[in-house]
Amino acid sequence: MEYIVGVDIGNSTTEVAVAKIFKEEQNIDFISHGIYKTTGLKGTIDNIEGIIRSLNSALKKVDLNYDDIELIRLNEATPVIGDVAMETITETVITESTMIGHDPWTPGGIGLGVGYTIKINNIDSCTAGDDVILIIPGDVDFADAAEIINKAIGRGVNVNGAVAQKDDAVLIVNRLDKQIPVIDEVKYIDKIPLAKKAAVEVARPGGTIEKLSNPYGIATIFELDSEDTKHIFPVARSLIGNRSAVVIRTPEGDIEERKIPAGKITILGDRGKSEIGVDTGADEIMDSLEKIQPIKDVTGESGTNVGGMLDRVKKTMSTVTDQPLSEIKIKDILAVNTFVPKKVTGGLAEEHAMENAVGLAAMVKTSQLPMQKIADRLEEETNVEVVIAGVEANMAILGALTTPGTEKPLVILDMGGGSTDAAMVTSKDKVYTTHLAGAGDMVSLLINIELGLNDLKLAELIKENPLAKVESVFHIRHEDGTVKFFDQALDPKLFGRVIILADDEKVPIHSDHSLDRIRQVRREAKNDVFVRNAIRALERIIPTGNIRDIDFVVMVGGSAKDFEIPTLISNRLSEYSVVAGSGNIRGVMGPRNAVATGLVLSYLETEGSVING
Amino acid sequence: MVDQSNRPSVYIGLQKKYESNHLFDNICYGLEEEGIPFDYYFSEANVNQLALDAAQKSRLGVGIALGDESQIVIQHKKMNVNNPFFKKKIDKYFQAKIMGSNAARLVKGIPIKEITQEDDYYTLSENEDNTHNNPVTKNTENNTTKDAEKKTVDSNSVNKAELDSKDGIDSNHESDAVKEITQLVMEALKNIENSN
Repeated sequence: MEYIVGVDIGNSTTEVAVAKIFKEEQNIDFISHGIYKTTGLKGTIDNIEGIIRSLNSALKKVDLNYDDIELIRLNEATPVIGDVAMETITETVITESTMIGHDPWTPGGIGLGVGYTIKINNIDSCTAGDDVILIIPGDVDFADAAEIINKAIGRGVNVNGAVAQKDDAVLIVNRLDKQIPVIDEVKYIDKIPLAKKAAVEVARPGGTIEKLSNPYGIATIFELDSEDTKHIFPVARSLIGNRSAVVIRTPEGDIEERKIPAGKITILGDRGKSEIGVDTGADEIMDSLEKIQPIKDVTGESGTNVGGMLDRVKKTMSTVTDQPLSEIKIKDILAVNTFVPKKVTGGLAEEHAMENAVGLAAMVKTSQLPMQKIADRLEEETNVEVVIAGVEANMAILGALTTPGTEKPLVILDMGGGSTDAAMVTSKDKVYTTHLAGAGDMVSLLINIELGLNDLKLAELIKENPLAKVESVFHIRHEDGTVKFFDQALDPKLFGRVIILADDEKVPIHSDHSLDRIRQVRREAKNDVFVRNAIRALERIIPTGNIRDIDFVVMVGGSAKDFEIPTLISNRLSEYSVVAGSGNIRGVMGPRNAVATGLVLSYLETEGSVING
Repeated sequence: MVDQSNRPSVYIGLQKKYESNHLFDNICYGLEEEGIPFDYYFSEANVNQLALDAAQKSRLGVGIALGDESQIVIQHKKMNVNNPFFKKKIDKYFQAKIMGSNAARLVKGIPIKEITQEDDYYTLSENEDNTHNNPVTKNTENNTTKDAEKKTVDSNSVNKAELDSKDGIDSNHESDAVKEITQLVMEALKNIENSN
């Protein structure tokens, strides 16, 4: 009898399996496992710390020392790393004419008011019959403002609406003799051009504005011709769904939506070369990619975001593997259409417009990682014999086959952080593999930019955990509508907010997004990356190219542990009558530990041949 | 303690010496801006007890107290007296307005505002004594969430004596009206949210 350890260094975690081997009986008894985050980049000497920690935790559980171990089997890690980037391709710029499109919680009054902008302190210069929109800076008290407005109306000035800097709209309107629409919380009130024609609209509670979100409504108010109406359209569009808005028009100004040069990428494939602008969108990029794949290399226009990102992945890989930069090739990219909330240039109340953007994941492959260095170092540290035991894909298949209810031919989808790897084993033990760009990190990126979080940690939490809404001091409502009550009052910081239900913690999301919106963004990001990659992977590795020809798909890796990714993929694959689900390695480990388990199992077996696809 | 004859409102419990304090006015402004009706009464209880009493008097279940060296406490009727929803010593008027807003937001079920140290827009003007004399400010009309019918109800008639006399009335029947109003408010808010 002897103890054997399998060590799998992944992109994000390092996993260990410990087993008792009875050689004569050809029997393997798994006794322990460990997991720790991968230290440093996969395939570098920095990995040692993660391996040692993972190994120690596994050995501690069963009270073993390094001396007891006969052999450590290390995986021949696939030399694949990925990176992600985002490129905005449109930009809304307000020049000259301007708008206030923000949604304060409590605007005042109801209706539409049109008039010329004037500061409240200068109201005395108006005469009876003038149509005005009052600008009320923060240093004017609401009670004074109301009094001034009442007096002005009293002497015949048509005060048709107002814009206030402080959160005072309701307070002002409550003190007026006549109801007018008032918008408040306009931060940069001093930037509002004076003596210009303006329209203020406030919808009833629960409603949305109708006139200013309609280009013809604006055209009617400002008496625009067809050419000007075209120019004003981006304004109308960005105001759709608001409860309140102000539009101020200066004669020569307009607001435009600009396409910004986003750089080109060049895809070199076996079947030709294709040059595509990133601004044509994700679908175009993916289409030309599928046409000419397999890909030899991808390059980006220098001086652009894409170019920079592609260079960065190549450089990283070059450093890791000690190979010249020219030998590092990008083997796959995944492009996803997305929207980015961007501050409107020229806006007055920190408005945001949803700009089109393309998210891009790239995957680099090289001939080999310097695994022998790691093996030597590990041997030094532990005094145990270390061997590099097998190709990752084969080991993963061996491990995955320990999932109850599976049989060859079988496909495993290894869904990690940086790349989605797939391997297929036929009934004759032939193995095909493929590696695709885009995985967990891409999902985090999409969530981060689409919700405008600017906080990747928070985006990751959103990705990994379900949401809830704090509805009272004592209860929350989950995504599915079920309610949970608490004995202790909840933190006031959480009150009324959408929260992330992370392990023991409730993390509030400080944004105006509704729970439904956040959930939708999260699920769409997972769909765009994982479901799409599952289909792409299957179409590439199945020799017949027909997904219906396989029976079993087993999902393994970190993202297979996700609470909804496996079900999203299962759902999609069920259309092809494929049995797909999250793996359960050795019947107990869930989707984790597949490769480490395979490394131990392969100690008694001979490996199958590998064909890279 | 809940008085069914009163309209649903947030109660402000006040120690007598704060009656003509601008902190009190600003609490009222905060509530008014959010469109939540309020009433007030006087008591010399400590500020925690005052807040809980106010919350229990309120048909909306939310009370706010001012006293004990300018401390403001927002309280929910079901919460512990010594562990209120929000408690803070307030030394700037605009902060009191935010506290008022936050009490209203506790009723509405939307996130509370942060109490900032500086108000970008607020300047303490010399003539403030004039503004607080405005009697209109003490009875708000809730015209963002409910319409004209509510305006007929006047809270001006509410005074200390009246309230005290009603203290004994039992609070068991948590009326449907409260639920109805809360529901209306919640619905209105949901619509606003959805329209975003």
